[in-house]
Amino acid sequence: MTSRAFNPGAFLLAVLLHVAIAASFLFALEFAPEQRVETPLVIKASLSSVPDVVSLPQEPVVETPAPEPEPEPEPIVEEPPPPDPSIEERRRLEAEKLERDRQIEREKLEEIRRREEETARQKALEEQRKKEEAERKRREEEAERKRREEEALEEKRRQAELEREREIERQRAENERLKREEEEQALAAAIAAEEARTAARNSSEMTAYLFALQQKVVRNWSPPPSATAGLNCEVRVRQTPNGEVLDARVLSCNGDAAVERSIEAAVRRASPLPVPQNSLLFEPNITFVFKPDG
Amino acid sequence: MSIPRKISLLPLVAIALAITLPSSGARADLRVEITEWNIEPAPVAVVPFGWQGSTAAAPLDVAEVIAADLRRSGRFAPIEESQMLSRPTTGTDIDFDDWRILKVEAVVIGRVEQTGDNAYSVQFQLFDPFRGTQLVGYRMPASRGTLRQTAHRAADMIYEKLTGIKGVFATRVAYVTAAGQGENRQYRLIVSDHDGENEYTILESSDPLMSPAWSPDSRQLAYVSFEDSRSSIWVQTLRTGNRIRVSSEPGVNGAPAFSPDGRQLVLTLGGADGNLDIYVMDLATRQKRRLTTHRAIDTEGSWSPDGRYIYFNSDRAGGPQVYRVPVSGGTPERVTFEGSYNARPRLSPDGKKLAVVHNDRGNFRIAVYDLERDNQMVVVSTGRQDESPSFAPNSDTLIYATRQARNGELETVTADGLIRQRIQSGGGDVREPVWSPFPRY
Repeated sequence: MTSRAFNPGAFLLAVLLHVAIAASFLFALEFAPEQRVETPLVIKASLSSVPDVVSLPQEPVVETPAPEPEPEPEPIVEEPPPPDPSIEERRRLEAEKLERDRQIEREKLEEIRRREEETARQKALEEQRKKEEAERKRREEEAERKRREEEALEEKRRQAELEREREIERQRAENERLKREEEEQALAAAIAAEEARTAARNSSEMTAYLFALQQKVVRNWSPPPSATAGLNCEVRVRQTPNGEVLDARVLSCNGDAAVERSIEAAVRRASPLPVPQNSLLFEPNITFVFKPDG
Repeated sequence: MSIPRKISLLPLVAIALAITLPSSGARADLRVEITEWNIEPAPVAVVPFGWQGSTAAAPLDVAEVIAADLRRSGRFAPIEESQMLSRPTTGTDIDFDDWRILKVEAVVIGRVEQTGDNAYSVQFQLFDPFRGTQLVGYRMPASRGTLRQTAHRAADMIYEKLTGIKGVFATRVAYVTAAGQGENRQYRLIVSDHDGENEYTILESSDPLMSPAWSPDSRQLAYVSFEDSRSSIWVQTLRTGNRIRVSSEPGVNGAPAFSPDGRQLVLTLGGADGNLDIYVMDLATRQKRRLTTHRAIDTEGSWSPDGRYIYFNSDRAGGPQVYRVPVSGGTPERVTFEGSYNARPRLSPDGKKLAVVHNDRGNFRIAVYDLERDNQMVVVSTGRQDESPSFAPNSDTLIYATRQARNGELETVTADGLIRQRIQSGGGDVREPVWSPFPRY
């Protein structure tokens, strides 16, 4: 019967034996606490298949009925069936045995088939699981990829936005700079013009212009007798670039109505006023101060 | 005649100083000081007046009378009719641009309407074309005989509006003329409008007539006549021609002048010893009161406008100078100190100026002292022998006689000496003009 690959009875016996040995060790440890580690090498070798001494009590065999003291494995496992006294009996027994073997064989086959099925199922399950796992992983990866892509896109967009803002800022700064330059240029031009005007005003052209203005008004002022020394009247004249008098307004006057009218008439009659040779000298407003020295 | 121009070309430095330049930065107005002026008369326009009446033309060219008055003042130059772009006769017709272009300072328009057989209505309006406003406007009734006087009144109102001083176009002038030689020599006391028009003789004599003087109401003239071979002082009422001899003392009776209230005369009496002194006579009582007693010549008395002083001429300090003495009596005080000769004092009606005959480097000329400004003196005439200054009632102008060859002629001059005008008169030797007070309407 060496063909038996597996004998549950023998396996049980072996287990029981191991348990008994383990129990004896536990018992021995109670009386020899100091030599607890001084276990025989043999035992040690037999325990090679057991990962850990301490883990033994957790084996499912612990739940089996308490082992008989001093079990005799041989008689239980290897005792042959008692011989039939008769052929019939023998035949019957053989038939039974055959039937039993067949039953066992069927069971074995069944077991094998079941195991194979189980294996196949397990395998299928495993494959399914792997497939699902793969699918999940793929999806996750896909999601991750998409996420990364989106992140990349987002980053790209953000970068573009930043770049755009930087560009706007740069433009603005550029505009600002141009404007400032323009303003500076305008200011410089204004200063230059003012300097030119100041220079012109300090020139003999200015003297000539003012003299011409003065004389034209003097020639046209026919004051009444009440215009005497101490008179002080100001009249403001607005003129066109051609010197045409647009209006004349007496700003202040300590003379009588006739004096005021004569002053207005003088600047009106003086129209068109002389224009300066240098146009820088032109002013749209001129205030004439009438101050006869008597 | 030539009018001195006050325009002078000032040195450029003075101009530069007179002008305030705006500092750099904010642009300010240019400032130009006008310290001189032009005494060229101001251009004005007197538009021919409209006429509505039974004859083809009005009995008097009122516009021409007004224009002539303004021209004669020396302050205005009416433009020629041919220059006018339009001839409005009512305010609604006037287009100010027509006159602004011509640069006239004033425009006079008006109408004469006949309202009866010898009744007229004279309407005039004065406009400032630059401001586009009416300055004055009136309607006055007149007859043929008063049309000229009405025109003068209109000119007076226009002149006063434009110059701020009263016009004297409706005033008159009295003066003495002498014509003929030897036995035929005739003296006349004449009154005319101030422009020489409407001349009429109020007295004619073969004996000299001298020193006419107006009463304050313009109705009477006092004068000296040498009729009957002696000097005496007469007062004659113009309207009636009645004349009264008010002083006929032995010796000299001369230089009468009415007090501002018309009740007294100041006169010069020589008495038997011939020592001329100033007396004041009450016209109602003929009572005389002696004001000066100096043995020098005191003569040519003249009243201050407030009636408190008599200004007179005395040579007590050597040459003739002007003194004044209170009418109530007192010590005379000397008034003039310029030069060796200041005679014939006449005060302006406003009391601010004193006109005299002044010896100006050998020439007898009219000079005006400014009593308000430290007695500053201005010689206002240019002749060799000018005499008898008399102020117009507006105190702005004087009339005097100036010798040209053998004859005296009349001139007027503004008290500042700037504007002088010759008055055309009837001819002969004209002397001693006296300007009437303002007429009382």
